[in-house]
Amino acid sequence: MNDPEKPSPLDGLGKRIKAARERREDREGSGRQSRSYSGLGLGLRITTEMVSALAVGVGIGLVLDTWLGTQPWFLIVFFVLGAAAAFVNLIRVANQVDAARRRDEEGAERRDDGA
Amino acid sequence: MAEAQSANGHGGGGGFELDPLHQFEIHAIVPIQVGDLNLSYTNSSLWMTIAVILITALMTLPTRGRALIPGRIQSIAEVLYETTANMLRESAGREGRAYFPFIFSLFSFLLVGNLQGLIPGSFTFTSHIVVTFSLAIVVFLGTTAIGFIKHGPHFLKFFMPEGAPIWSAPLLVFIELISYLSRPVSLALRLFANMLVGHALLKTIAGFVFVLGIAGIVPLAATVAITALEFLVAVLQAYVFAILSCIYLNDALHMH
Repeated sequence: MNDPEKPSPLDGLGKRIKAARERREDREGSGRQSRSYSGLGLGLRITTEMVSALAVGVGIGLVLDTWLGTQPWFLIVFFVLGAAAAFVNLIRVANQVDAARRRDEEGAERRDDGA
Repeated sequence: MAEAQSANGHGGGGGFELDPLHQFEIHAIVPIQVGDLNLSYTNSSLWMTIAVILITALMTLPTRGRALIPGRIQSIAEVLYETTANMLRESAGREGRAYFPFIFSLFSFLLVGNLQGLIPGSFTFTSHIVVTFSLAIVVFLGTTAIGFIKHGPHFLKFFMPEGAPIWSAPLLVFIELISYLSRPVSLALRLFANMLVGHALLKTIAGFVFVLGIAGIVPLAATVAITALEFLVAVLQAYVFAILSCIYLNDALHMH
């Protein structure tokens, strides 16, 4: 390997690494999630998002009620707000999945064109 | 709490015992009591220690030789590294690179923890919501702090969707706040529920194998299938936890 006549296999390596890195930078984006979800995974994800939003809403309501002694008014208000937040979460997940799917399709088309 | 759990666990009495929740019991190995705090070294701590040792060994030992062509074990370490690096780059962009050590530690800790749980007789520390919630709250507080450090008070705009009429602000801010606060809860809940349900299901179905005699071959086949599924779930849930952390980090860095 230390033979000066023979070109080392590492000579082009730096160039190749640089090229690969540039290719990767092009793909670089923010907030993208290319992995499309399986049905089960998506279902579980939406369930936990909705349940946890509702749980946080109810939790805040209960804490405020016991703190201020206003049972059950804050619980009712924050239950409704929590339900709204659950739907916000649901819409957000759906948008993410939708965007990821569209990107995957676009990527597939681009690959087809390139070939 | 540990005592109450163990009392329940052994409550079944003699004979043939079918207790799928027995495996989640925490018992102290080295009891340590500091004042009112119970700081015992438990079986959960033991498996966490094993996980950390395993990861450290995986990362340091095979690379000791600094070989140009990686060996088998080194390839595993490199795949793990590459996966995490790609995940972080794709979801949080270039600025996210600074947080690679944290995401990598988180991902490898959860991955090894989840996979350890599939060894018969082992303990799955990710099946306790205390563990998953602590990790989720670290991610949550960390990303919130990063958001405020990067954007200052502008980060509060995160709670007011752009273009919404001003009169709807009080309602929307509360909804967005609850949605934001639900992040660590959903993060913790998902991992915990997946691990708990999978392991309990596996134990329950495996319990039928001996009870049913010759027909026990059906639950046996189901057990084999579920074990395979559990491997998938173990890897996937560690990945989901890490990638959602990356996405939250991205929100803090770029604010959408």
